Amino acid sequence: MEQLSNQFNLLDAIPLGICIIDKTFKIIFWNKQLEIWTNINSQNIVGKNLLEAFPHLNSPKYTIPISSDLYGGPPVIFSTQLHKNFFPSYLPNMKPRLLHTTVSHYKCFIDNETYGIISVEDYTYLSYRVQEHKKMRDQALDEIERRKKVEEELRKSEQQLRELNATKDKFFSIIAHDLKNPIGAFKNVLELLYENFQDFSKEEILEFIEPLKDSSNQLFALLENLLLWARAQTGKIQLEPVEFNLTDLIKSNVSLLKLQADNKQIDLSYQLPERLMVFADFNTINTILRNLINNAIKFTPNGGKIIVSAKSQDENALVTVEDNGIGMNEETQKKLFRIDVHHTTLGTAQEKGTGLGLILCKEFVQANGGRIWVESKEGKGSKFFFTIPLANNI
Amino acid sequence: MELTVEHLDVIQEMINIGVGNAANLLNSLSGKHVKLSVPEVRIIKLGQLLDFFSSYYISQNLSSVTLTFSGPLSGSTKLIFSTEAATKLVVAFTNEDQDELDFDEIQAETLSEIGNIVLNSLIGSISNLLNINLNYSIPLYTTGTIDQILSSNTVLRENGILLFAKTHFSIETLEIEGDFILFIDMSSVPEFINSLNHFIEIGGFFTK
Repeated sequence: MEQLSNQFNLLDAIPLGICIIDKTFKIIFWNKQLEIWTNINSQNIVGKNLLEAFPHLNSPKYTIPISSDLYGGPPVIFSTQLHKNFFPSYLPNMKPRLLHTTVSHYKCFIDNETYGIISVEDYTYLSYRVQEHKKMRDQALDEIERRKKVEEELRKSEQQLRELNATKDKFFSIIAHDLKNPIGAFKNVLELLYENFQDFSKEEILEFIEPLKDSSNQLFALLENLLLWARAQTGKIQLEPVEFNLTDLIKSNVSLLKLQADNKQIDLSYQLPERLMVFADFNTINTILRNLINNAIKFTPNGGKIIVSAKSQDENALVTVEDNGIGMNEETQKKLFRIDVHHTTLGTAQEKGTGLGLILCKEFVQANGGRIWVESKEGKGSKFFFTIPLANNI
Repeated sequence: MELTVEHLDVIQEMINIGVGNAANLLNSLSGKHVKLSVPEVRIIKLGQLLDFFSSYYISQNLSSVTLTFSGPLSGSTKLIFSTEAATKLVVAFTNEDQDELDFDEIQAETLSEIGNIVLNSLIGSISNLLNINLNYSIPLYTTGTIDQILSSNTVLRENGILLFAKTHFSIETLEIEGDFILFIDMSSVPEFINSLNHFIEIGGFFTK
């Protein structure tokens, strides 16, 4: 046995575990590397039967393929994941060493016998490296994910800043032009009247005052919108959704603005169900309706027609303000509702505007959980739509 | 000398016997019910091999296990899997969570064992039934595109017979497909055909 074993001594010098067995599974060689890995001395194992020395190998999943190899069949692999303990071996920390085992046969030219060579490679450090690599990859993926989030937050905050800046610009532009000019005109007319009061007849004075009255109404409406909007921007408007009949609110707005429409001989009418209960903030919906009808009057020429209608659609109330006024091209439609694009158009009677009304409408509609949009054709008229949630128990 | 339809039938039957042995071994290894089938074996010309595979393995990363043999017959056998199929197969045996893109060396080593069992059974069945003793190399695991996998085996560049078969693994509810290639080197083709003829003459499977 010793002589047989000695012919394999060369295999002590390689960094692989090598065990050689004969056809009866008798161990005839056990190299130095295996001694180190298994703590089993060559002298104590050589001569023993492999299946007796390692009883767990006495199972068909080992004996069939190994026998097949010993009788001329193909080599066999026992991988670390499926065979954690082919030759039990432990690291100093008592964790199992991961060993990859291959069995192949060899025909000895001295005795012409076939021997099985069980060669064992240590995959423990490869496995650690793979795990390390995975850990690093996971960390890198986490980092990428984190950076994406930060970038997204930055993008959002930049967008908010841009909107804030646009809001500020809009505010100053309104104060600079839309308030200053009419108040300047007021001042001039009032100075003229004050200084030359005696020179004017009562009729002439009335002529001066009449446009001031219309102008002051517009100014008041603008100031009202401006204040509401300023409050909305600073988060001071608290919406208080309640159930109310939208039909009543539309009717009251139409009747309030009827006089203004009559001045331009516009036929302002409504088509409404008797009862359309919605769940929304009363004051903001009132502002939306007033602005949309006001706008329709502004952009509808003398003798035109405006219809305000409302109906329930799915879970919402759909309100439409339709006019046969001057309408808009697509480019203008895109600019509506946007704070960052300056847009105003004079009305058909040269009424001035700020574009603030529609921005306010959009904010209020959205705050009430609805949607606002427009359909319009230049020269044919416009249709403004908005939705608000219906009350649950209508 | 060329393979006839009768030869192909015999090879198909030998492969079926090998597949049965492989399934038994895989059963005892995994403790699960493994069913293996090779529904059809066909001959492919070497020049058409790359085109044939490229048509359904478009720029995919593949895993393969190769076993080369020499002796009275020389050639090689290969099992090829897509990464997805390879991962499924390894996970079915190890019961470990594994994401599809994460096919590492340790998983590859496991696939080598499984692939080797299948290749051993198939080629073992052929050599046993034909009574031919072959010398085998240690199984080789390779990864890459189909181009890289096929060119990594120099034997495939020369002339010879190339047999191709789809292999189908059913492991409980899992269905996994792989491709099996058996290449017989041109110098061994006469011996291969003679052995097949002899096998048929002596009564084929009825005498075994």
